[in-house]
Amino acid sequence: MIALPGMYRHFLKRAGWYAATFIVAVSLVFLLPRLGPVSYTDILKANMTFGPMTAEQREELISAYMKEHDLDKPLWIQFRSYALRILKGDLGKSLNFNAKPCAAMIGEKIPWTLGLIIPAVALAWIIGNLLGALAAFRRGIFDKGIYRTSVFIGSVPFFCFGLLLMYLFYSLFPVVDSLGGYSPDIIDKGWNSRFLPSVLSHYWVPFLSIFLVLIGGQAAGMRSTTIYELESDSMKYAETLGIRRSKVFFYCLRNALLPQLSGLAITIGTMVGGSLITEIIFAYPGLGTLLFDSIKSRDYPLIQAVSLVVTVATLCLCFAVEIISAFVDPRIKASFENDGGAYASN
Amino acid sequence: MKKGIESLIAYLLIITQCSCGPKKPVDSSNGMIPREKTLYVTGLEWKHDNNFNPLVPDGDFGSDYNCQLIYECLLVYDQLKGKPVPSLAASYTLSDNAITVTIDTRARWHDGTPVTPEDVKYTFELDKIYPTTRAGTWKYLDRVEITSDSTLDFHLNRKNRNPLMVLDALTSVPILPHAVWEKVEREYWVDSLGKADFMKLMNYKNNSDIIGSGPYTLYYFDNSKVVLRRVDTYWGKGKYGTLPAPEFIAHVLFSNSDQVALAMKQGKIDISCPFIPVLGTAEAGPIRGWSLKPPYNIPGCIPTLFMPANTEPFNNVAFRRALAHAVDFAKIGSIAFANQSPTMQPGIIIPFGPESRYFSKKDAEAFGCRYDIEKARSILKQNGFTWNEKGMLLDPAGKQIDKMYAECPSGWTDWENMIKIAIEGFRGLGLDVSERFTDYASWDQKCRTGNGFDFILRTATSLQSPATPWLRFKQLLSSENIHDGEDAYENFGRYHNTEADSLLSLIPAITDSSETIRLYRQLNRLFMLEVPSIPVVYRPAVFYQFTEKHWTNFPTEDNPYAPPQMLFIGGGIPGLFHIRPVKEAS
Repeated sequence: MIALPGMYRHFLKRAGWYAATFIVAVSLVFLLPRLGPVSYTDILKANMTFGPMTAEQREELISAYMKEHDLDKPLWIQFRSYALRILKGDLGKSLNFNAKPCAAMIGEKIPWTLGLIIPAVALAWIIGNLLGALAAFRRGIFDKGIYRTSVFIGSVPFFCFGLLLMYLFYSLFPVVDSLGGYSPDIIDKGWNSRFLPSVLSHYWVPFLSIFLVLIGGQAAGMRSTTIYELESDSMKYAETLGIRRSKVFFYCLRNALLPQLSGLAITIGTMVGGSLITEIIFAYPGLGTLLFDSIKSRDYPLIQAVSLVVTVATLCLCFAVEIISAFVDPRIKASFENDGGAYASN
Repeated sequence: MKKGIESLIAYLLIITQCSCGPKKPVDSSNGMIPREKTLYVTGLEWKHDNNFNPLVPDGDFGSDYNCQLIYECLLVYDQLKGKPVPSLAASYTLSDNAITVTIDTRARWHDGTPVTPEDVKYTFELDKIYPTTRAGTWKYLDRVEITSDSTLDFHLNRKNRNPLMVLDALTSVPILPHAVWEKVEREYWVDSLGKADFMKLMNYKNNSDIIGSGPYTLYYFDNSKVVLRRVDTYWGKGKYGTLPAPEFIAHVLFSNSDQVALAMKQGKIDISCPFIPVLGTAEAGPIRGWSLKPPYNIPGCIPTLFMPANTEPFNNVAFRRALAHAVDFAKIGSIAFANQSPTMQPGIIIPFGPESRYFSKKDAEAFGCRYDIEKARSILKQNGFTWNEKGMLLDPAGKQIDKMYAECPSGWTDWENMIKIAIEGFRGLGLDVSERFTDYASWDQKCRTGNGFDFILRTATSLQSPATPWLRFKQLLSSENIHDGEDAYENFGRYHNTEADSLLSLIPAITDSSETIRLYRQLNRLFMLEVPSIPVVYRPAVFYQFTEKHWTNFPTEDNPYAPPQMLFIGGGIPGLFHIRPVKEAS
């Protein structure tokens, strides 16, 4: 009971840091797209190359667009409107998609991205860590096989692996009948016997392209952490006490998993952007391609909205992992208690 | 494990259920569009913004001037015939002061009401009131006058008489039903302006209960595809003798041409228009173009290397001519453009098809620049250029020419390869030139501002229209719209030549065909002598590629019943009425 105030204080402090990070991120996603040499006005002008418009007509059309989206106002007023909109939960309207609400566009895309990433990252994390820990614990040929394969697969960039799988399963052995999230002849995207099998048949190759690469990275990382743990005094002490190897393995796994757990949140956050290449290769209808297209077209509200969603998700996940780690890892708990000037009552 | 898989499936069910975008109610089609009744197409759009408002600069599939499936224009341009042919119009005649159009009295809107001259006048006048991308038409028009129940006169602007551009407008302005769009206008009316709020009008999505006059209407849309469904009461049934063969046309999005080629090989896409480099090779499998022989499609436009004509050393004609002699055009056509271009002839007249009547081989031999590095070096030498001990080119004042860059948008692989081949030639002259591949918007900005580039690759109008080739000449030579400190949307090298301007203003008003030929040849000679920019390759106005897995009897070189304009663009529309499902054909 005495330990809680110290921990709460720490969490409050961390929440403050996350809030500050959020504010900085929000400001950066507003500013960065506007700092480049090319602006949305240039995109508008690029779309008006065709058609016999006079200079005055072009200016009138551009002015109308700029006014409609408040882009004719000074930057600080635009920022104020943007910040106020965020507070109200309004993500704005897309410039490039004829004022379509950004929230609706993200709502259409995010399930595909999360559906691709979360199972891939979660399964890769579980299996990769188990394989890495086993490799470190059993050593020998098992270790060499797993370690080398993991380093090899983990080092292959997503796009290379994606292209390889695409060649294998779409061209050489054409077991998947089309690119995209589902067959193009489907127009009823609901709970029905045509759409769902189609989604699954289009899902597994992009899934594998992420899953296999991540598994390699996780296994290689976990192997190193486990070896470090096995070399620690506590594990050696446990072994000298004659504790069963399986029990030692369990303790070792628990300790080694903690840094991996911290990495999990960041992996999920970064994978939203990282899945971009996978989505492009497989024409998968996710958030990554939406972000890519919005950057290309300098669609400020959409860039801001997608970045904001990714940022908030990453920060929330990181914060959640910090909280979980604090409860799971007695060492972290102890450090909070020391910070807070209190000691465990036992 | 089983439980895990079940959980995964359940999770996917939930997320996919959430992902449903806007759509039309599904009818008896069982949630699918039947493959044997659907023509799949890609490449005409790279995003589906689901805005089917024909007033926006780039409406979604089927609604803009490019694809006359929902709305139709008065005329359509037939690339094979080299002239406009009737669409909503029954006929047109050109006189000194006006173009008289007679509307086909059979033409009906989807609700059964007739298409009237009032609809046409109203549509054109929208562009007079609002700054649409077609508003510039009124630079060439004085007024539109209804002269009878079925005829209109498009009175030409006497001060700027240009029937070519008015004809261009007649083939590119989709006619809208007055009754429907006046209501839309009224919805966004602002009394103080005396017209509708333009942005609100532009943001009107027009994605339900569309009333057009074309053979198709909107059936389903989301952010990955748009599906149009045939209108079985289409008025053109009487004109064509039948309805279009596909009941559905689905436009599906892909990220790049490799994906398009794969989807075509898989039989998922029937017809496409992105550049497919493997066309004509075994790798293309069943994909073919208009012809089975190179260049597989009919040339329709010319990607051109622009140079800043007013800055040193580009303001030296001899330097520009030497550069043109240094480009290996044959290599660009065969390697960069994968044999999809005949070897370039000097000048900017396409020496094939209807345009070939303006081409003079004799002039090309006498005045044109062909690939010849030795000749290029000799021109430079004769004009005071020298080389230093490292072989780098020095200008007549003895100063080494600064490093240069040749640019195009990144990811346009055929263009990137064209740039690389052109650079090889320039380096052969002793120039220090590197390639620079930038993002599209940055590249476009440089073209418009005329700043910050040495060589920039761009296609002067890729459209085939009644104003071809005048529009191409204008976009490469005219200084009419080039002003210091202002954006330019043509003639990106900002070349100025009063003789060219004068010829360009004369040609549109000429009615005597031999005189037109003479003036075009004169302009082409001027271009060949001055080399304000370097045309590098011929490419089709629209790449036309199809497979016959599900549909057959596409128009081809051997069966040219319609031009290779994608079955949707301009004169290509008759193709829709003649293709047949493979099952039926077999």
